[in-house]
Amino acid sequence: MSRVSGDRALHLTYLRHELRHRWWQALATAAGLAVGVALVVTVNAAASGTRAAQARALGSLDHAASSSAAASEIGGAVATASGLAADLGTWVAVAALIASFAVAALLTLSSVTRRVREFGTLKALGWPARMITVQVLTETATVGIAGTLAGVALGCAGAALIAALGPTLTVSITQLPGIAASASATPGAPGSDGPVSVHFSAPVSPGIVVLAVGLGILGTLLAGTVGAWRAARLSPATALSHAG
Amino acid sequence: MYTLTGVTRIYRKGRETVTALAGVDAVIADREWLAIQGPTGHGKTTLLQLLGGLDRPTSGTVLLDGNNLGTLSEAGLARVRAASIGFIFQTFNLIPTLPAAVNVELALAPLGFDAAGRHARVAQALDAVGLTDRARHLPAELSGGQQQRVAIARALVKEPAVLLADEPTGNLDETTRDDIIGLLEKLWRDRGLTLVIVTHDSTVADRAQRIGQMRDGRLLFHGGTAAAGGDGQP
Repeated sequence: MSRVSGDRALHLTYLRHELRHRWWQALATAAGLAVGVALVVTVNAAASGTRAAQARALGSLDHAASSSAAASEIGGAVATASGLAADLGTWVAVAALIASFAVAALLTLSSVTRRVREFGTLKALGWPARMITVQVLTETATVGIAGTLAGVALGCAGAALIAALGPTLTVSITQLPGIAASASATPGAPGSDGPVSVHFSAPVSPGIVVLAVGLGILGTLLAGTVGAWRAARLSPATALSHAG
Repeated sequence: MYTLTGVTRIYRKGRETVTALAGVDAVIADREWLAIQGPTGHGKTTLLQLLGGLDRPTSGTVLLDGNNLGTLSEAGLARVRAASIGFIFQTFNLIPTLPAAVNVELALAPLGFDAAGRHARVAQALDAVGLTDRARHLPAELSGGQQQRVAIARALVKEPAVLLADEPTGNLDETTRDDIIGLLEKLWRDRGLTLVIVTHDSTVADRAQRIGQMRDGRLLFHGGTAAAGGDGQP
């Protein structure tokens, strides 16, 4: 028990000093990851907002149109346009997330490469592969979790900003040829002959937050595992002869 | 006690092979101080790495107290290094982001001490090398001589039986070199260490009980013997 807690304390002390003195490197890794996660959250929220706005606009058309064929045609055009925008946004977010994982993984591996001599020294001191693995993973996971959580916060802030600055769309039914307004609709409400306001919002889905956090941590741990594996399997003689 | 029998180490680089050690036979007694000299590239550091279990011989045996370092598992070698062997390097090899005390503490991590036990030993080790007041300093804030003292404290904090030093004064000026060698000699006497030093510096080598010369991968002693020098007593 005391050995385990003693080991943990030393790993954390090591971590604390590493982060303090190589903060720029940790910051670059965390920031790269944060940007990817933030884009996923924000773009997903924007896509949800687009779909919701589309649904409200189509709802107003359904109520307003006397010609269901014309309503369907217009509604289909709106749905296609907004669907394309949402799909494009999703792909951009996925690409950004992959790019940010790649950046985080490269930075993690380059950090291990730069510290080859350090790991060789630890091996000379008798550190077994397990302890070196734990150290590298502790450092990587800390930076990765911090970057992921910062990304979620940035993503939520981005979604809130979009909602705050998002335009209010006005759908004016009476201008459309061949479509008559519903007589039963009340003015200003969906289906009336007056303009219909649709406010654009960007709701953050809890599911996407969980997904982004999961992907962020998973990607970090994968990069950390590869880095730790490389560090742990180094020959001490080779590592100690490594320049720098 | 070390017993080396027919130790060879051959490196392969593509189609080329380099014979770093070409059949080394030697006995190094407990509590002996052996200096190893020789030109660059003749196998001194390779021999030290084999003595320290950092590398394995291509053929032959390296026995430390009866354990064949060439056939131990990686985990077994790590245990031997952790418990029995201290290293000192020419470039100190301190972790640049860690204060002196934490650098020393790293050597105790594999040995199962709790935090309080580690801190007590670290304080004693830094005191033994005269650096109690530098415990919280980073390596970059210390002089070369002070950094090597921290490295000595790190090597000795676990109270090993063997201390292996690869050009420990190679990066130091003469005054600091004399300080460091004086310190090593005192620790060798006080603690009954087996001390093996690789050095180009004859001033350092002349302080040892016995001097071996590495030539073309072979270890030669004056008089041609490979046996332990003297009775191994400081």
